[in-house]
Amino acid sequence: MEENNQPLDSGLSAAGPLERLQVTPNIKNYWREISNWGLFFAILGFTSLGLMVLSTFAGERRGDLAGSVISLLISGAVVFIPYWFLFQFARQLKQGLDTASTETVDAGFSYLRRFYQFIGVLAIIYIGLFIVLLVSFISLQGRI
Amino acid sequence: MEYSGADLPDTANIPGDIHTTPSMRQNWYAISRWSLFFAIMGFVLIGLMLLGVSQISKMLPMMAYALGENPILDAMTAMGAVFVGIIVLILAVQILINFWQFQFATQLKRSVTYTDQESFEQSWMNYRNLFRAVGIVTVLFLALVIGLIAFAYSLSR
Repeated sequence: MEENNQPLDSGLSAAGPLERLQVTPNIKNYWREISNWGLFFAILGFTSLGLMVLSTFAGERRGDLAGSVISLLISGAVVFIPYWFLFQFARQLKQGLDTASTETVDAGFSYLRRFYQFIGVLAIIYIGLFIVLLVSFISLQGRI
Repeated sequence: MEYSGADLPDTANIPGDIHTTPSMRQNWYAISRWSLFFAIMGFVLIGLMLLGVSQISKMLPMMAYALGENPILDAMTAMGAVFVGIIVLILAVQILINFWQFQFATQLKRSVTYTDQESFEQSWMNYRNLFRAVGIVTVLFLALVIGLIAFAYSLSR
């Protein structure tokens, strides 16, 4: 006779496998493709940064060089940091998948969080600056 | 007898090799919130762009009415249609990318909050689609730029 006397919450105990999210082969495939594209974007970002540095040094006269270097350092840092986070995310995720290391995958996702935090804060600063400029422009128009 | 390899264990299906941790869940929760912020910002940007496109399509007939028959304006109107077409194409791609971003954010948040495996899987599929779409657009853009540079170089020689 078939046994139907199973509790409704069977398999949902604290230590049960259903308690936590499972990393299925499908998810691993998605992560692998995401890491490949992430590496591509990061390398493209580093290349564009290199081109930016080259164009600054090639196009400037000696007198303007100091100012250019300062502006390059600021803009370069703003561009470099998110690409570095993206690169680390992609690299660690790929490495974690290859070696089946939970710690490395975990470290990879912490870099993705930092990437989002950085560009998110940057976006908020830009929006704030845009609103300030818009309000000051409108108030100037009102005075004229 | 030829060996087919069918009796080899499927290493990708071994459970427990990579598992989720509380730290991962915290990271995913933060990522989902920021991702939702970017998706909403993207939709606002798309709305503003649509507003701009509608203004361009209104301005050109008004100018034609004010100036009368004008070959330059006719050419501008023809170019304007191409311009609006390109913007609509860009907008369509942007809407798709934003949709995936939004889906990724909401499904990842749901999966972390309610331990929903189906949403978890769907969220990463959406994120993969997002990366793939942005990647293909980037490759196309790079090919266009390289093609234009090569064309300009061939003209200069």
